[in-house]
Amino acid sequence: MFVVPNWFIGYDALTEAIFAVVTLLVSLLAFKIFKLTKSNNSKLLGFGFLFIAFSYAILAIFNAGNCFNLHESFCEITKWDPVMWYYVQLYIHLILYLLGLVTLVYMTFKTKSPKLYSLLILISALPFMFSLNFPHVYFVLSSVLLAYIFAFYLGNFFKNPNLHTALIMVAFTFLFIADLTYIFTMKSAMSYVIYHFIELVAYILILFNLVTIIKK
Amino acid sequence: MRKRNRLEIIYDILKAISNKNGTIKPTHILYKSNLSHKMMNEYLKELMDSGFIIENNTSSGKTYSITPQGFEYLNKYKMIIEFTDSFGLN
Repeated sequence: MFVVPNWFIGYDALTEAIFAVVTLLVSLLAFKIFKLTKSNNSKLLGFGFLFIAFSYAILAIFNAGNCFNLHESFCEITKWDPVMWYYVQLYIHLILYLLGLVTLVYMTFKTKSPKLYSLLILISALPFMFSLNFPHVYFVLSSVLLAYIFAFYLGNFFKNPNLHTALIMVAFTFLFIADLTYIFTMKSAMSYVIYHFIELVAYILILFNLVTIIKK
Repeated sequence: MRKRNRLEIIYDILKAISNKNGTIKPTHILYKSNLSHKMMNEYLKELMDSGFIIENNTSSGKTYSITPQGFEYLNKYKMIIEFTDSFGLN
C-alpha cells in the first residue's frame, strides 16, 4: 500500500510510536477529566483517542518488525502467508483509526444517541467492505471525517479564542492536510515522509497543549 | 452577563462549601451559587451521586460537606477548564 524510501524505514516506526504515546496521553487525561466531571464528551474523547493510540501502536510495532526483518522469521515459524499477515495488521490499523475518528466526529455532535453512533460506524465501514481500492477509500473517508473535526475546532477557536483552542485547531488542520497530501501523492515515496512529518507537527502541537495544561 | 456552564456552577457550589470550612447549610448554597431552588437541588443530587459532597442530617437541620473528591475537583478546576475548552467538550 505504501511506497517507503529505504532511508526512512525505522524512522516511520519511531514517529508512529510518538503518535501512539501522544494520543494515549490525551486519552488518559480525558478519562481523568471524565472521572471528575462525569461529562459524556470527555469519555467519548477518551475512547476516540484510545482507538487512535492503538491504531498507531499496531502500525509502529509492524513497521519496527519490518525494520528488523522480524516478519519473515515470524511467518516462517507460523507458516503464515506474509502478504496476508501484512494485510491483517494494516486492516486492524485502518479500522481502529477510522473508529477513533468516527468517535471524535460523534463527540462533536454533542448528543447522546447510540443509533447515530452506530449509523456513523456502519456508513464508515460500508465502503471499506465493498471497495477493491481500500487504501484510497480509507484516505478519502478519513479526510472527510477530519474535515468535520477540523470545522468543529475552527468553530471552537472562534467561540473561545485562546492559546489552547488555537493549538488544537492548528493540529487538526495539519492532520487534515496530511491526509489530503497523501491522497494526491500516494504513489510517491516522498509523500510517505511528508505525511509522517506533517502528522508529527500536529501531534507535537497536541502534546505542547497537554504540557501547558498539566504544568499549571 | 455570560451564562455559566455546568462545570462552573459545580465549582461555585464546591467553592462556597469549601469557604465555609467544608460544611454549609442549603440556604447558604442557594445564596452563594445564585441558582433557583429547583436547580440547586438537581446540582446537589448530582454532586452527591458523584461523591463530591455528602449530606448530613443534624438536629439543627440539613448541611452539606465537601469530600476529598470534591477538594480534588477544586484543585484541578483550572486544568479541567483548559482541557475541556481546548478540546471543545463544553
